[in-house]
Amino acid sequence: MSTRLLHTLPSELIYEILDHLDEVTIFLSCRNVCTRLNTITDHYRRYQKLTTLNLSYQRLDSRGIQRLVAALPQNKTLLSLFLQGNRIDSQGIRDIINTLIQNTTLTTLNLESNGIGHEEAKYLVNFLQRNRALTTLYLSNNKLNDEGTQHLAHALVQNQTLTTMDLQGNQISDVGIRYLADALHNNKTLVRLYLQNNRIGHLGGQYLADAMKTNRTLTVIHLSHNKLGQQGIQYFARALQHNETIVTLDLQHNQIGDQGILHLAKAIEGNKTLNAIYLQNNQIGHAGAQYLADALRANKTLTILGLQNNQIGDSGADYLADALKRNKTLIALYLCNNNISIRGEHYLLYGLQKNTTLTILDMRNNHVTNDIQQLMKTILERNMH
Amino acid sequence: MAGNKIKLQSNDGDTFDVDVEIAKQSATIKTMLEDLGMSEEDDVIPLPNVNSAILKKVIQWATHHKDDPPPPEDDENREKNLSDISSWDQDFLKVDQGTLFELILAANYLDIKGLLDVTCKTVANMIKGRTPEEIRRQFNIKNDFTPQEEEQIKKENEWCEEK
Repeated sequence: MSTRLLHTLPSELIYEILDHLDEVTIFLSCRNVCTRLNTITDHYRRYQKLTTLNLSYQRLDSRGIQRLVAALPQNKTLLSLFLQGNRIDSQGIRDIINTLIQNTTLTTLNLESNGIGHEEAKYLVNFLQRNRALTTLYLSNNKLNDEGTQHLAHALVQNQTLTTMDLQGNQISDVGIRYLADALHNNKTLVRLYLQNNRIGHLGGQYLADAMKTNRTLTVIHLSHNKLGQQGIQYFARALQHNETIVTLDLQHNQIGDQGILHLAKAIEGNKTLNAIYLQNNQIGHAGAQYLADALRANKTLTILGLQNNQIGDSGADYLADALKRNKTLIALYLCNNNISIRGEHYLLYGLQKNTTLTILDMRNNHVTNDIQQLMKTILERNMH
Repeated sequence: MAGNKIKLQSNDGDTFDVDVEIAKQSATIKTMLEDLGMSEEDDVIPLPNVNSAILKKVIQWATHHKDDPPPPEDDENREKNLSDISSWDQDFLKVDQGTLFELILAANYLDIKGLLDVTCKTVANMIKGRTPEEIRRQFNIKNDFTPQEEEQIKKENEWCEEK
């Protein structure tokens, strides 16, 4: 009698063995051993259902990467691949990205925190120019810098599938943003762009704002923790007056100040698409609150306004309260930590009494009273129905 | 009831006297006895898919596990419980691969869920953490991808210079 071998067992018994293995092992160890095992795993329910492979923070070594690279080409199940936090070396990044060029199923790739620099960005260029499936690419907390961003921008001109690109925390300055902005003039697919925690100054703001004048697809831009400043915001304000696609604008932590808000508020007044604007931590005082209040009286689309960690004070609250009497679209107003005392709280209560849409009014970390907060809560709950 | 025995016959003709309760861990034998109304006295139950060496091992395993609670039902979409293999089972399964796979086949044919689980788990443990190449070596499997398929894999992995 011939000796039994693993791969000659009936397939249902191989399924029994696979039942005892985790998805990662099935993916990395059992694929590409021989044709029969491939055929069997192809029909194995858990492999067929394997749409997400999460290998984040697994300390994947080069051997692990090579196993992944070997298993990826024949795979037709994965929609999402998470590889963040693995410190994958340059060769590993290259191999993974090149393996995925022909892939037609994967839509999400997360390469966050892998030390990706401009050299590796070149591999991504080739990928983005040829791949036709990926829609979401996370590259946050890498080391792309301006040079890497230049490469990616180059690819974005041709790419027609990517809708979300996350470039947070990549030490990108105005130089890199210029390339990206140039690409956005031509790109017609990118919908969400994440650029938080970079080094974007007023010039970068100008480039992006210019791109917003011609680009018709971008709807979400996150720019928090940059250095746009009053001047950079001015460009954005001008762009917003004409832009009809931006829905979410995140400008937290950008040293905007009241003068910057003056420009932005004018743009919001006439804008008809912006849905959410985040302005926390921007040194906004009562004057800024006044400009925003004026905008809110006319605006008919904004539903979320984030003003946490500013200094609008009681008179700022007064202006906003007055705007709340007229505004019929705002749903959430965040005023957490704004040096508002009982007086400001009263103004807001009066304003709220005439308002029918607001359901969230965040007043935490102010000098507020329980009684009035309770009354506000009743109105906010009433507005929900 | 104690002492009730039946005779099991391997495919190479040997018969084994086994306590009925022990033999009934095999759902296949249990069905034969209960549904098909086979009497326990003189009849010999032929097991044409199992040879003597393997049948002996199976009886040894079933004897040791005769008081085990019944294994829980499976959920076919989930990875099975990866709890440790008892040290007795580990020793019991220190056998060559051919025997291990024969035990899997026998456990499947005889429908002894506990034995099937522990043998499959043992093979699974031999797979974990290994590359496909290491698995080929471990299980003596030939790389039978055609040159074209190999080429395809290679090609898909190749770095293409940006034009």
